[in-house]
Amino acid sequence: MNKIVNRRFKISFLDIINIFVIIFLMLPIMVIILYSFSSTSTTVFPLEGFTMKWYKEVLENRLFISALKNSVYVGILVSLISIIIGTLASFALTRYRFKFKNIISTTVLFPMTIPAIILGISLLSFFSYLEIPLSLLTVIISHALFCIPFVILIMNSQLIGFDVSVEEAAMDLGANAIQAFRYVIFPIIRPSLVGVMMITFALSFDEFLITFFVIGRQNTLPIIIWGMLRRGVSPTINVISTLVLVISMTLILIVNRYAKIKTFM
Amino acid sequence: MKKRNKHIYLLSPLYIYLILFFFAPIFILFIYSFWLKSSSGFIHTFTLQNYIKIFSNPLYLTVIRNSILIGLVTAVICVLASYPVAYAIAFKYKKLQDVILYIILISLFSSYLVRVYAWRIILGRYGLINQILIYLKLIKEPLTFFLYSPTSVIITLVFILIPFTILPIYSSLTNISIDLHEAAADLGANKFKTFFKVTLPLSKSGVTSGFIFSFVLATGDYVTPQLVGGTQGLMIGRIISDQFGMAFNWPFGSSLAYFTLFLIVLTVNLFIWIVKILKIGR
Amino acid sequence: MSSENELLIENTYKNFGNVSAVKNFNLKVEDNEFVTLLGPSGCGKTTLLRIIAGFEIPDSGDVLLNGKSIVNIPPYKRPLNMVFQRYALFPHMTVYENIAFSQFLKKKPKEEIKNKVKKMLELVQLEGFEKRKPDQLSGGQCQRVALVRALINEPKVLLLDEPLGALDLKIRKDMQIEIKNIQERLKMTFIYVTHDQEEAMVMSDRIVLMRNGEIIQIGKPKEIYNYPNSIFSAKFIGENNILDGEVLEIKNDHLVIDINGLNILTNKTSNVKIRDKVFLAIRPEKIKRIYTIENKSFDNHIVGKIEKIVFFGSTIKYYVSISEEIFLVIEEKVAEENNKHVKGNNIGDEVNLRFSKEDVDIFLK
Repeated sequence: MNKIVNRRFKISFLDIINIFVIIFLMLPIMVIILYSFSSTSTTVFPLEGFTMKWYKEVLENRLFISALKNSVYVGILVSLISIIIGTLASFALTRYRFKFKNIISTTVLFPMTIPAIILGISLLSFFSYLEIPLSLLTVIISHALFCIPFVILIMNSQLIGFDVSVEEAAMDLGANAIQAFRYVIFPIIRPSLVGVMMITFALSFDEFLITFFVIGRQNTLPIIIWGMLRRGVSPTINVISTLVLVISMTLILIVNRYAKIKTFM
Repeated sequence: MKKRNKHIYLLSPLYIYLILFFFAPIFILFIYSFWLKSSSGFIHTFTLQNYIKIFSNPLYLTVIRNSILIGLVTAVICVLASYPVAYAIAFKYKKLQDVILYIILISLFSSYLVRVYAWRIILGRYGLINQILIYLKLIKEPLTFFLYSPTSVIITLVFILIPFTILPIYSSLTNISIDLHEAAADLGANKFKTFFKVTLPLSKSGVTSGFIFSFVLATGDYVTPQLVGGTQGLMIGRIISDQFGMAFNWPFGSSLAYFTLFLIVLTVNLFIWIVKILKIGR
Repeated sequence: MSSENELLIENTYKNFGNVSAVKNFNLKVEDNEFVTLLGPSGCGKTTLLRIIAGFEIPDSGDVLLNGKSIVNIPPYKRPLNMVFQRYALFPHMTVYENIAFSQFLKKKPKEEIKNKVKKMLELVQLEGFEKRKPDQLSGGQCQRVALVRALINEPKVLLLDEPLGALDLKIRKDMQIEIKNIQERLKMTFIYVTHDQEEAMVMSDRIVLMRNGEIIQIGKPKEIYNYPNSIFSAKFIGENNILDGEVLEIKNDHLVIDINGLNILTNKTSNVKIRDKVFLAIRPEKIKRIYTIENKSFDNHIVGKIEKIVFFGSTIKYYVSISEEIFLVIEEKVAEENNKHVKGNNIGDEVNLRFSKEDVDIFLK
């Protein structure tokens, strides 16, 4: 009996490392959220007063609202483009055997592994070389580039487990390719698609460095945040950051709801 | 399900996209690196002058070396700190597994810019750590050693990038079945032996990809050194980006980018080679 | 029974890379016939079934249904249906939706679909399971749903790809009988793939024994069992004692085969010469234990020692050593046994064995 109790309350070295890592993962997020309600305009300890006035200020800020709109617009289009291209490719990579498949499967992941700054200046050089004006469109193109590999990675892990005979059964029972997709394949992979969509949206929504190089006159949220950070500490940064965090976390919540996150890894 | 080259149709959108917006841009960047800057724009030529310039000024080499060192130290700390966490999620915390993974994912997907900024609030001269210490009357003057230095850059990068190392290690550990642990224990291996002979070698792929991920991301990082690095923590990302901004010397920026990329690839391959040579667990 | 639903496979070849999965395959399946493609894994039986279903296209050759080629018709237009190895039920649909799927695609009126599904569920005793999802069913129930999901489409030929492979032995035995009954009731042509020779024996009208993409033997279960045409057939179908020997003498009405010094008499076959290396196959149940040597109709008399006795319920098997190298298995009905005190019923006892020369099959090496 004693032994059991001892075991339950024993905290090992492993636990301490874990607690430490998790506290430090959550710490920055907590700090930002907490100080977004602080009534002082500088970050002081201990926290003084509680206020919503910074929130009001941010939500009335035209610049913020238009940047938010731009970010959402970019995020939606990026997730649509990358999901279509990535899922089609993932079908090819998981269903068919062909020459150089291994080389191709690794090559498609390159845009994800190359440092963002190099991707950013490459795209900038490319657009300027072809005299393509920088705009939200160039941002969308650039974001989709690094989102596609994520889609492929995640969809591959989903489609490898997909029982091909289910699809064959549909065809055997009279479904042509389109009907088999509509009635059988799509409903089965729909949760994964929703999950991937949220993840790519979140990736695009938070992307800063590439955007920094390829954006034109308009702004996305990270660009606005960066501008404020350069200018110095303002309590409204905390508010915008909190709002951005809330949006990202909601997306992850939705992902977890539709498709168990664990199966993605 | 073999149907005459159907995969080509499925892959062609991806091919077109990658060729147009990935391979073409990095190729154009490469071309730029052989051009020259003049007062009126760029001279379309073919010269190695930009590359020679990198070696002529010790500033560039020092910053590149520092960036790679910061990247390596960050990656090593990331892997060392992630392994116990990944191990515990995979084998120890059955009930807490989902909660911890969820926290890691929130951290991973919450704005990177915001998290770096938060670390500035925490580490800054008038940051929370100093304020708390002063409040508790442990110090009188703000401490500065962890501020605007390579140390603060590394601390911040570690906590920003740790999800990128935990997840691959966790996922490689989950591929190891519990049976294998039990089999090892059954054959008389103690905990440490089991770990070094069974667990570690089998999770090698996760460790390798986690290391590479965090190294590449840390070395090429731009935001962290800017916000918490000060002049001491200057990294190559800033210098490259300045060439595309204020300095308006794209050709030189391109050559810096390619030279750095070359060194990063070299280091990564060196690491893979070392892992192979060590033959961990054999 | 005219050639109403006659399926003809002609000179069919199929290669995967360098591996040839099906070689020069010719088969005619009659209406209402239950034909089983039997063979070890990798023998090409599943590939052949998939060629018939339309999931694989043969490199050459033809598949004809009622005289018309169907090779170029895509699977969804073929009047054939298939039951898959691992059920392949649609996981997101209920039992009802699964079964109704083909009728829904054919845009049949709702009322008609409802009646048909009801009939199908009655056929496999799954009334009341309409609203369940596949993950709420047992393996046996899944297989029944998969079966009627294919049957509702009234296929000209039903293809079954090791449908019972994933089930427990007990449920498998019940399902074998059930499937056979349904086939007889509906008067349909079934082509069944299995690697289990016992399953093939229980269910089939005809067995097509395959190896390495080729047909080894075609025949009724009894024919293949009693008259295997090759050492492969003899080994694969049922149990057999295989002996390795050499032709010693050729007599008027029999052969003498030397097995490591033991002489065994067999029927005469025309194609052997003296010194030819041969295999002999003797079914365990054809070897009798005798207590006194009297009956002359048995041509082979051997003395051996019982090494092991295994009880199988209705039968019992004796493992008998004849010499250092030669072992024989003998199978008897249990009713004949039960005399513990009789000599030759216990391990270590010496037994006299006999079998007629007609019961020995002989194959050239």
